[in-house]
Amino acid sequence: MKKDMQPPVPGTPDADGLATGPGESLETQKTSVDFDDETPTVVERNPTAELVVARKLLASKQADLRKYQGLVGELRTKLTGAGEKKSAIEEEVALIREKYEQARAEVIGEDVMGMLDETATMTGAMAEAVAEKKGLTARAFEAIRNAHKKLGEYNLEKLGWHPEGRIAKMVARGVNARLLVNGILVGGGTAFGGTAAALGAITARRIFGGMSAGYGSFDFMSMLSERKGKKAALEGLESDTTEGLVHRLEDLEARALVNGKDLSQDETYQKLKAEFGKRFGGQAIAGPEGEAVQLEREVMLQLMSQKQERVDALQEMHTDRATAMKLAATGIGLLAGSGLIAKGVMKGAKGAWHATFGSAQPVEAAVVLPNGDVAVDSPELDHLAPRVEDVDYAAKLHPAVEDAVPADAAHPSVEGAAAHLPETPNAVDAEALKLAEIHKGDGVIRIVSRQLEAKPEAWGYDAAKDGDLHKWASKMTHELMAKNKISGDIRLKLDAAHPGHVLVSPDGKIEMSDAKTYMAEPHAATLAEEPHAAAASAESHAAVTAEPHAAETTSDIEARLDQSMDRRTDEILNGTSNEEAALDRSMDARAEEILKGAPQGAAEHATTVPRPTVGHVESGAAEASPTGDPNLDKIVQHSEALHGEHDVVDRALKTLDNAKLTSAERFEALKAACPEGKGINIESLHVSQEGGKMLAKIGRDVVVVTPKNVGAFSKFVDLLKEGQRAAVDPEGYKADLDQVVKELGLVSPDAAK
Amino acid sequence: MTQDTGNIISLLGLEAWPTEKKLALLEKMNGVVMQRVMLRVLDRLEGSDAQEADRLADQPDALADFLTSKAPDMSALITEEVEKLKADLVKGAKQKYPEDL
Repeated sequence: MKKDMQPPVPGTPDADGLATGPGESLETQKTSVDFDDETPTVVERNPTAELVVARKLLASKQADLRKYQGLVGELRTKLTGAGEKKSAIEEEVALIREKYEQARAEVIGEDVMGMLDETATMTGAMAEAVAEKKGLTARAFEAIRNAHKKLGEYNLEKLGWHPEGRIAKMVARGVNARLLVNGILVGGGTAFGGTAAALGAITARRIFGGMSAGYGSFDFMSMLSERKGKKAALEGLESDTTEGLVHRLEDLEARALVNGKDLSQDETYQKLKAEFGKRFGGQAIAGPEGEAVQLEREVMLQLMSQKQERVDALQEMHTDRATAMKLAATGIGLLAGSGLIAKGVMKGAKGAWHATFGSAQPVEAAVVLPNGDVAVDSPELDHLAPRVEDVDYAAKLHPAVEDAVPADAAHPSVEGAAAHLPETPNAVDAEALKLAEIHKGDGVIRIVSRQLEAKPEAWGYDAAKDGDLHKWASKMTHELMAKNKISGDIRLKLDAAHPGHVLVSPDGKIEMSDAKTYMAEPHAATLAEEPHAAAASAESHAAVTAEPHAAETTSDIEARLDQSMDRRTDEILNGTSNEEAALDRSMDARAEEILKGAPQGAAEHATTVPRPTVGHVESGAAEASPTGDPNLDKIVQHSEALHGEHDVVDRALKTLDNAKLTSAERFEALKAACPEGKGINIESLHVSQEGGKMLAKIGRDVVVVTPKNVGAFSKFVDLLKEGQRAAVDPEGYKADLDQVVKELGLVSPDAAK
Repeated sequence: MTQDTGNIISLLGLEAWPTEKKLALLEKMNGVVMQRVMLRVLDRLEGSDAQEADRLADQPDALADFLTSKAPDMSALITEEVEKLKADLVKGAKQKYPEDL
C-alpha cells in the first residue's frame, strides 16, 4: 500500500515537537520518502535541516516573547492580561531552545568529528612524508606512530618538565600527558569553581587509587564510562561508604566538566557535599608534626584564579615563557583545584600520597568543614598563599617592640559576634578603645596604624631618627602584623549597632573583638568554632597590604607592577618565597590603587603621585568594590588593562596583513602597537621601539623595521606562523625565508644600534 | 552565542550532545594532539636516529624513552599542540556556524 506522506504543515509541531515556522520552506529538510509498496517507509533525518528550522523557529519565538519583556512589555502584559500567553510562549521557547541546542550539538559535533578526521589524515600524511625524508623504515615509522599511546601515560616529569618548586614538582609527577591534554581541552584548570574543582577531585581519586585499586591508569573519560548505570546520585546515600560518597561527588564533578556546567548551583551536588560535611565536619586530621590549620577551599580557588589571571597575562606579554606557565597552571588546577584533594591525607593515606607523588611533600593536615569542603594545610599551600610572616621583619623590629612581643606571639583571636574584648594585662583606656573601633571602610592595617600614629612615643618613635610619622607608622604596623602572624590586610564590616575593635595592646599584641570580615558565610560560621584556625584563613583571604610610595611616576609603578607580577608568578610556580615577593604583594596593590586614580596619559608625563594616607577613612571603600572583593577588583582591573594591550597588538597584526594600506600606514600601526620602551611579542619575534627605531629581534638577529621593508616584515611574520610547513616542505620554506630575510636585511645587534 | 569558558565543549556549543559522543570527541582530539606531537618529534630525528628507531621498534618502552630524549620539551610541545588544535577547531566551527556560536 502506498503510504501518502504529507509534509508537515508549517507552524505545527512535528513528531519531535519541533514546529516549522510560518512560511518555512521544507525543501531544506530534504526528507526522503520511499513510496514503494513493498518496502516500509524510511524517513532519513537531516540534522542540518533540523538545525536550520530550529534556529529560525527559535529566533521567531524569541521575537514573540520580546513583546512581553522589558518595561513596556511588562506593562502591556499587565494591561492586556496577557500573562498566560506570555507563560505559554516562554514554555514554547524553552522547548524549542532545547531542540535547537540538541540539533546544534549534533550538527556541529559531527562536523568537528569530521574536521578531526581530516586533520588526522593530513597529519598522518605529513608524518609519512617526513619519515620518508628522514630515512625511517616502515617498521620504525609504525612503531613511532603507535608510541603516542605509551607517551600518553608518561607523567610530565618524564616528558621533560623538571620544575624547581614543590607544587610544580608534584604536578609534574602527578599529571600524565593524557590528563594534561584533557585538562587544557576542558578548561585548563582555569575556571573559578567548576572546572578546577572537578579536575582536583579527579586527581583526588587518583590518590584513593593509590590506597586501594592501584594507580596510574585513571582518567576522567574512563571514569565516566565506568559509571554507566550507576545508582542515582542521592539514592542510599546515608548508608553508602565514604569512598562511595566520594565517587558520587566525583562523578557529578566529572560530568559537569564534560558538559561545561558549573556545579555551584547544583542541588544534588550541594546535598552530597553536605553529607560529606556531616560525616567529617569539624574533624581535624593532623599530620605527624603540625597542628591542623584551616584554609578555606574558596581561598584556594581564589588564589588559583588570581594565579591564573597572572599566568594568562604573562602569557600575552612573554610568549617564550608561556608554555611552561601553562603547564604549571593547568597542573596546579588539576591537583589543587578542589579541597577534596585533602582526602588523600586522611588516616592512613600518607603512604598513598608518597606512592603517588614520590618525595613531594604531603599535605600536613586537613580539616573537613561543616559545609563539606575540605580545608588543608600544607607546604604547597603555604606557597600558594605566602605570608608576610615569611619575611624577616624581626631583624628590623624596633627594640621596644622586640622586647614587648613574646617570641611565640599567637594568631590574633578573632571571636564571634557575642564575644567581648579579651582581658589583657595592659590597661585599655577609653581613648584607646575609640581609636581601635571599626569604622566604615576600615581594614586591620588602617586601624593599627591609626593607633600607632596617635601615640607614637609609646612605640619608641623618634622624630629626628625615624622621620615622617606616617611612614614610620606604616612600617611599624607591618612589623606588628608580622609579629602577630597576620598576613595582608583584613577588610572589616561595619556593624553600627555593635561596633567591633582591633586593639593594639601596649605589649604589641593585635587583638580583635566583634570584628566581622568580608569572608564567605560558611567560613564565618567557623569563626566562632575555631577562632585560631579561622584567623589563619582570614589571613589568606586578606587583601594585600597598602605600602606608601611617595613621589613616583605612573611609569615607575607600571614597570614595577610588571616586575612584581613576574616574581610573584615565579614564586607561585616554583614554590619560592622571599621577602621581595611578600613586599610585592603590598607594593603592587598600592601601585594599582594609585594608577586607578591617576589621570589619563599620566604615564607619558612625570606626574608625581600623591602619597596615600593610611589612617584616613575612605567612606564606603569596601562598598565601592565592583566584585565585592578588593583582591578580585585588582585582578580584574589589571587583566583588563593587559587584554587591552593584547588587542592593540592583535589590531597591529591585522593591519600589517592589510594589503590595501600603504606601507607608511602599516608601519605607523606597528609603532602605535609598540610605543617607545614597551616591547611586544609577535610570534617568536620581540618587537620594541628604541630611540625611534622599530627593532624586531629573533635570537641574536635584529631587523630594523622601516616603512620600506614593512611589507617584507609582514611576510616574515606570516612565515613564522607557518612554521609547520618547514616539516613538509623544508626546501620551499627555506627559499621563501631566505628571500624575505634578504628583503628585510638582517643585521647584527651591534649594527642595529 | 556560547559562553567562552575555555571548555572546548562549551566553545563548540556541544553541551546538549550525549556524554558518550563528547567523550569520543575528546578521545579523538587527544589522539590528534599526540599525532601532531609525534610529527614534531619525527622532524627532530637526524643522522643515525632512524637506525636507532628501527632497532627499538619492537621495544615500546625503550622507543618511547628514545623519543622523549629527542624531544626533552615534549610536555611543552603537547601544550602547544592542544592550544593550536583547540583554536583551530573553534575558529573553523565559528566560521561555519556564525549564527550558532
